[in-house]
Formats: sequence, C-alpha cells, structure tokens
Amino acid sequence: MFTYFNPKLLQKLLNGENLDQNLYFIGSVGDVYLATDSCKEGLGFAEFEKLFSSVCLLDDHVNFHIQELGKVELLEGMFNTGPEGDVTLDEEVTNIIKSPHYTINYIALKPKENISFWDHDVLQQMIDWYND
Amino acid sequence: MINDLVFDTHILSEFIWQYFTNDLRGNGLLARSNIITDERQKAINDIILEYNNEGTFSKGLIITSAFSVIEIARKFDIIAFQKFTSSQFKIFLEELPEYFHIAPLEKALSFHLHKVPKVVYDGSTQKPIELPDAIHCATYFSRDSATLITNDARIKRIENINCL
Repeated sequence: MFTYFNPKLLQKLLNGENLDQNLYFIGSVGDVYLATDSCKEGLGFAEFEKLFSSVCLLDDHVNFHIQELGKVELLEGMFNTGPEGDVTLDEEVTNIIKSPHYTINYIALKPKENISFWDHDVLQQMIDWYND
Repeated sequence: MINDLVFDTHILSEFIWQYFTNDLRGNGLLARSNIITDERQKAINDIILEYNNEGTFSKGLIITSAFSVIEIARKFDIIAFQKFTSSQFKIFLEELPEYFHIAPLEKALSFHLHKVPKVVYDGSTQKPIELPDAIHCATYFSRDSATLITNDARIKRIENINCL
C-alpha cells in the first residue's frame, strides 16, 4: 500500500518518531527541499549536513521513494496531448494559486505509464494534503 | 576558462522566445532586447557560436533549473503570453540544444540550498530570499564556475554570487 510522504510526516521522522512499517511512502524532492529549508535556519553547516544526510538516506530505506525531477519528468508531467496531437499544459500545473511546492510535487508524482508501481491514490492524497 | 551561464526563469523565457523567432534552432544568434543586454548577448552567443562552429563547449554550458521550467508552466499565460505556445514550449524541451542543460531538482541540490542566505539587506531593510529564488541560487552553487543571469534585485544582493 502506497501513501504520500508529506512534509509534516518528514518532520515527524526527523524528530525520531517511528512510522508505520507496513506502508510504502512516496514523496518528491519538493518535500525534501521544504523540510531542509525550513530546518536550516539556526543550524550550523555540520548540523545541516547531518540533517541532509538523514533525509537522503530515507531513499535507501525499503519503504521510501523520493522522486527527483528532471527533463523526462517535466515532459511527462507538465503536458497533455489531445487526440488530434494538440499539446496543452496540465490544468493542475497552471494553477498559480497553489504553492510552487505543490507544482513540483504534482509534476514529479503525476502517474506515468512507465512506472508500474504508481498509484493514482497517492497523487490524490498529495492534492488533498495541499488543499487542507 | 569554462564558465557556465545559469538562467533564471525570465531569462529562460526570453531564450525560448528567441529560440523560435531568431532561429536559434538553426544557425541564428540571440538578439539584444530589453532583457538581453550587450554583455549578456556576448556571453550567451559565445557559447552558441562555439557549439555551432566547433561542436564544443570549452567556454561552458547554459544551465537552468528544472524549477525555471516549472515557473514558466505555472504562470504560462503571464510569462509566455504572445511569445511562444505550449507546443513550442514542449518542442524546446524535447530538442534541447546540446549546449543547454536543465539541472534536475534532485536531493543533492538541498545541500547547496544551505549556502543561500535566508535574508538579504537593502539598506537597513531585511528582505527574505524565497525558496524558488533560492533554488536558482543553489543551481548556481552546484556548478564549479558559473555566472547567474538574473534581474532579481534580491539575488543580486547575495555577496558570493557572480551575477550578470
């Protein structure tokens, strides 16, 4: 079972709280930025390096997947192609009222045909989380 | 000496526009505009010319963050209005020139974000550096040697960033 790994959950983990071992967490690099950026104030470089390493190590854990975002993900996540081949930007992407983090996460996490484990429910959880 | 040029969102938007209107896809060069100053034009065209003539990148590459692309998409009607279409936007990304690199939003960039100050000072007034601008700065810091091309007054106040 997949679930969205939101910044609040990341904070809990960084505070040493245990998360449900039966869940598979999916997040994006936008969540990593948000967590590390909000934590960096008041931290020395050595402390920040430790925090950064902790966040990166999450990805090595069997229960976590942090989606990075490059050219391939941009092309697959930002655009929709209609039946006549017409190209449009995804409506969720052009919604400037939502935060930049939302857009990073939406594009990174938008289900893609070539990622077999992906789940539309994960995306809905992320949208719900940002809408709350 | 290799020196990469890092574009922020507005410079990227101008580049995409000229990519189609000035045939940068072929052998065209960037023209001067209200955003492209003489200095910027020379620095960017030096990279394009070297690639067009020699197929090499000894002067450096043009870099922009994946976040700049996201910013244009988010505010497409404002930023790209009457400049380029969503189809052209997609074509540009698909056929990126070899001298142009989109730096991914990856975990390692978070390390460079720490080098960006939370605030800058305009006289005695404190002004925050928002995360989106910090991402451009972190992309700059991720390069060995670079110049950040931006009009952002706050970024220009960051001491250890070489801006053009």
